[in-house]
Amino acid sequence: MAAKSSYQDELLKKVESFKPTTEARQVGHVETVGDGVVKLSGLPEVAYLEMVEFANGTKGIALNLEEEAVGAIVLGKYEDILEGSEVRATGQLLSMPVSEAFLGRVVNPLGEALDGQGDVEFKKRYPLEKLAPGVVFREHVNTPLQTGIKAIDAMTAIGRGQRQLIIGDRNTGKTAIAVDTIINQKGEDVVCIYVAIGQKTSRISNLVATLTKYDAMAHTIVVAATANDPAAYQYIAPYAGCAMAEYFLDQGKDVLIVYDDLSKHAWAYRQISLVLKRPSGREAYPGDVFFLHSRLLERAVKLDKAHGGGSITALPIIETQANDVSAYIPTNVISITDGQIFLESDLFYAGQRPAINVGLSVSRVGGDAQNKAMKKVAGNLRLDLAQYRSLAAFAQFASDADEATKKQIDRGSRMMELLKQGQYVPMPAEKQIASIWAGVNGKLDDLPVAKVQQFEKEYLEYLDARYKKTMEKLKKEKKLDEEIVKDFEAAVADFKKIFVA
Amino acid sequence: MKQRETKAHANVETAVALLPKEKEEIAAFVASTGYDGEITYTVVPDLLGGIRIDVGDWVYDTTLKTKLTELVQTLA
Repeated sequence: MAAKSSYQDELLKKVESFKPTTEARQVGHVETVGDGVVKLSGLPEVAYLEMVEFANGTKGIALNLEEEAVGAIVLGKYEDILEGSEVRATGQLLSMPVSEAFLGRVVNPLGEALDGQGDVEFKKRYPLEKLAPGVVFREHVNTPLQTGIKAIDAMTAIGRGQRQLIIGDRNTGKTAIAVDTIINQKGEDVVCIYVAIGQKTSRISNLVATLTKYDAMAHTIVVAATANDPAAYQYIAPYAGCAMAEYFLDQGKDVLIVYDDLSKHAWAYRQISLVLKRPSGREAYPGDVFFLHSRLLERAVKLDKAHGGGSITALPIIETQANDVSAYIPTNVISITDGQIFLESDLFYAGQRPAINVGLSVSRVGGDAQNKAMKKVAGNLRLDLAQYRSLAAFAQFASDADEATKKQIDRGSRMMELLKQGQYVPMPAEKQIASIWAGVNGKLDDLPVAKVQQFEKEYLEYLDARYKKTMEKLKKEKKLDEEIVKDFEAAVADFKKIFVA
Repeated sequence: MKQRETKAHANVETAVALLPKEKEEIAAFVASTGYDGEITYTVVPDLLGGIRIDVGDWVYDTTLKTKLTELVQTLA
């Protein structure tokens, strides 16, 4: 009885506190509807990027303010918007609900739940379009973001606050790198946001299942605009993800945001611009397609202590056609980001996975994003492997080469074998250091190449069993001092005695 | 894009028929917004009360029906 009357009381309270909206409002009327874009007449005082509301409740954004009409994109189904129907301006700029409750959920770019677990509670809204923090707020990138992938952490290390592009043809493992990075952030106090733009719904569902399986959903938010969604959703999805990231940034947290992928984002923007009859340029993209991505990626920052010390690390993904990195969108995004990880399909099909092209991949933050131990161990690795790649053609004629070349080829092929890694098995930093240390110090040179992976696996297990203290010291201090090196030397010598090739 | 034809027409909708004096007041109000065309008066009992005036780009809506719809939406 008490519950029922309190429910009634609450209802009465709500009714009494109800204030109707202002009785005079500006309206527009729909003139044309087509392809997700609506042309309106009226609304003389609507602002650029203001949200408008159609008669059936669907929202839209005013994108084109012309003398005689307003062009708006529809955030939702446009098939039931009738010509002549009323449209009103909401006076708000487009914003995204934000809250900790979004962790572990899959939402669309408007914050509505897609995983069937009910609407997400939120208290604040963050604007989608926002100016990136200025020069005064920023600090140099100095903390590593461990991806758990040996090839990346050793040669093209990523720091917190950096933008690192993952670029390659289809099916070369771009999303796999992002997923492994997200899985590796468990326990690192990094919030991960995965923005899916224009992807197959089945793919997103598989991804969520994978993240759940490896216990990574608890620190991840998935913002999805599938291939089924209107171009307007795909256009705002990255900005929605970024607004969510900025909420956590303002609390001093570190955030990782993956944009998968920005090629489809550019296509969606191209579709909207062409239907809005904006002039098109190279490859039919509108003139401001560079600004589309630069303003998004500029919001990835490392803030200084005075402003919270948080960071947003961005991993945009771009799909190339036939390995062409000099196409329009790839060159745009390469010039915006602080480095790229270039994946090649040749390497992928030759069995080198992750299929990272060492020569073309670079991280402009580099050593500053590595801890001291890794820097010491992997210092020259990238150059050595790049040289190996150019010599690899001569690997066929190894017997005819001189001693130095032969040695380089042998070492290089074993290092490449060592850098191969399976999916969903990110490796913690101290194990990476132990493994690469063994490789660069020639401990694998006497093994057949095909046995390197097995050796590595069993060697790491051996270290875990017999040299636990050393590994823990390395994990804590992240420095390679003489004592640890001595331990490694002893461990390798001991292990080799018992290793059965 | 030519301006919508309703600019040449102002629509007034009420739940009950208006008295001539009330119609004069409304005409004066509409004229004050700068509009000087024809005004059409319609009776729509569904509105339950209040008045709704469509003039050019503006809608002046004090109908009970709109208020109730908004109330339902906020309670939902």
